[in-house]
Amino acid sequence: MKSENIIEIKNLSVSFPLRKGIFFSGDREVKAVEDFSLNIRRGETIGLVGESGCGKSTVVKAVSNLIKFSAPEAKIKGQINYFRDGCAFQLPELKERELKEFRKYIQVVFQDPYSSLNPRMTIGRAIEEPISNFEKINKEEKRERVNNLLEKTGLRKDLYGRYPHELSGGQRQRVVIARALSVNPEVLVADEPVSALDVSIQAQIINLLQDLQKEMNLTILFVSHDLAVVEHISSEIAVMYLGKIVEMGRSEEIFNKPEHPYTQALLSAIPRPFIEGQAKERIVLTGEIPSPVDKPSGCVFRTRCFLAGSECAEIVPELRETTAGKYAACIKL
Amino acid sequence: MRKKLLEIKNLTTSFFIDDDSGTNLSRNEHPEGKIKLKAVDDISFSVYEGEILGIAGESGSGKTVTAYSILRLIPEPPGKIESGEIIFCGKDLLKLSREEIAGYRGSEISMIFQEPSSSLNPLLKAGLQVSEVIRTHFNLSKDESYKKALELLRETGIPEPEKRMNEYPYSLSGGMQQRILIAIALACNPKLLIADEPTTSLDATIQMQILQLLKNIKSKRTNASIILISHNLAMLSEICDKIIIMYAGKICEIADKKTMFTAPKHPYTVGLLNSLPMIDGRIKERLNAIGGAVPDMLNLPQGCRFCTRCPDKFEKCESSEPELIGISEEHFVSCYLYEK
Repeated sequence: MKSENIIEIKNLSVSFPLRKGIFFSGDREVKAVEDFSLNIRRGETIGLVGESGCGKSTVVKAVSNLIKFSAPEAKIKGQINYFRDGCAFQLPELKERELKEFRKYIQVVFQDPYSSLNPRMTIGRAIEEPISNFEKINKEEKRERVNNLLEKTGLRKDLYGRYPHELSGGQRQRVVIARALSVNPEVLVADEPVSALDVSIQAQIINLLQDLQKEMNLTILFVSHDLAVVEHISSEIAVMYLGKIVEMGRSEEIFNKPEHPYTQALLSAIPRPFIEGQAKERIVLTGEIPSPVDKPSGCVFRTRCFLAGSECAEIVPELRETTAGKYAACIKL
Repeated sequence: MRKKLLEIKNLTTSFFIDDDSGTNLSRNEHPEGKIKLKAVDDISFSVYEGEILGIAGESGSGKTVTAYSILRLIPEPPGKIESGEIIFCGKDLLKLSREEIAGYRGSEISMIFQEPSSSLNPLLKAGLQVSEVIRTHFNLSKDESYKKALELLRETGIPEPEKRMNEYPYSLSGGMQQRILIAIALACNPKLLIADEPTTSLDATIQMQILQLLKNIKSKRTNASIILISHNLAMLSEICDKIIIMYAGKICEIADKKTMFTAPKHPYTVGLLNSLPMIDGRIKERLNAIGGAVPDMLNLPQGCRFCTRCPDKFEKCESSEPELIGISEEHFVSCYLYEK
């Protein structure tokens, strides 16, 4: 099943300048994302995995065009193309007047459902707000839409007049999802949407996202540090380490045959429920994740890699196709 | 015959909180206009020597309150250990005076907390914080305690221990800070180590390093027991011998690791295991989520606490609360389905 690309990220690099202090001279910067290219196909779920500081959230902010609001001093290079029927958007050349259309096209769900909702706004108004912003429809229609959304996301209709503090974490996340879907976006970006939730609630939200995706033909960019969750929901996965993609491909392929040593170690680090007779050879990485300000030369992973040789310090590995449709960035493969 | 190191009998720990919701006043009313929240309600279990016990449960299930109760770290007020016995090496910890229990903390029983950055004093060098514990509990000179601290740091596998001794916590990563805390916890060779979500704030690869470290500690100090608290069942299955599942302040099930994962009995345990996404590289079906949400602790359902979400409930579940009963020697479950 091949379908056309809906988003193409080409050589995206984002760097944040470090504030100059008495001791810092010269221009130091954090290269949060380096040379990041990724194609997202319509109707698919792409999972983005990596440990803290690997640049996942920066990619989310870049794709949803939020960097210039959260960090105006950041330097962004590269190009992101978005496709939709009739017209397309392009970053960084997005025009001011296109922004409204762009927001209708792509919506974001963040990690913490507690800080994503205005405590002084009722659930109904929170979901209504984006509709009022983008569409001119009357009150009754709006109410109808909100009721539909509440039902779709598995919430009772009588929550309309309630305030966020009366809701549990799982319910709030449903409200946040309902609000994101209120403008019928084509792309949903979910940045760690289940990390703040309890195990039994996590499963409910994952199921909800999958159901909604089928129903509305959504494309989802799903970001998480939890590999088990990502594997469950994604059809394709990109593994990041220190601002770079180290491996990407179909979800089953990545999990059955991880090639990059980092992916192997990451997979092996997932605690698995006890299964009798399962021989487990763990790869436990030594050392810590280097600081993004001071990345190792050559391959960024070499300081912790169990395959690394002297040549890894010199050559920057390119992401190349190792088997059909699967890419890895390692010179040892 | 294995020896019991710690035995908890009918522990109930409550918190008395201001009623700001305007509801619930009729129930649980306390003389001073406060409402009582039973965070841990009548639980009993034992820890044997040399055992790693895991306590799993969702937020608010009472895991941490149980751990804090053992060392009497519950702030009073608003909290209070209302009843029960905590028998450690033949002594009831709840009957000790404040000075006596302080002697146990850090020496006989020590604890590792979830957030390593907030457990360390930012103004003191890492090495000093380790040697401080040693000097508090043993009569050692500065030099000797420094040497011992260095040895401990080495044992925790921290890179370049000599250098770390003279560094401040801010310059250490989360994983290294957790190692320092483990070194502090091990300083007095405790008989019991309580680790409350020790890896939750760490990255996956670092998490595995810390788990391996705990496992190694266990194999080196054969008589030490560990209580490991986590919301992550899969993680507990990595190193625990026995697992306790808690729900809304009660114990649902106690079983050894193998039984828990191959033949769980309580509907909540079954639901919890089914709702975990499995990594198997197969095409994914829907997850079997448990419906509903954890009940409000101030407004618990009648009867069994899990009955509002339980797929197997029947009339009895809604009227009375099941007791923890043994279905085999090492397997306990609190559910009417298994009542004889």
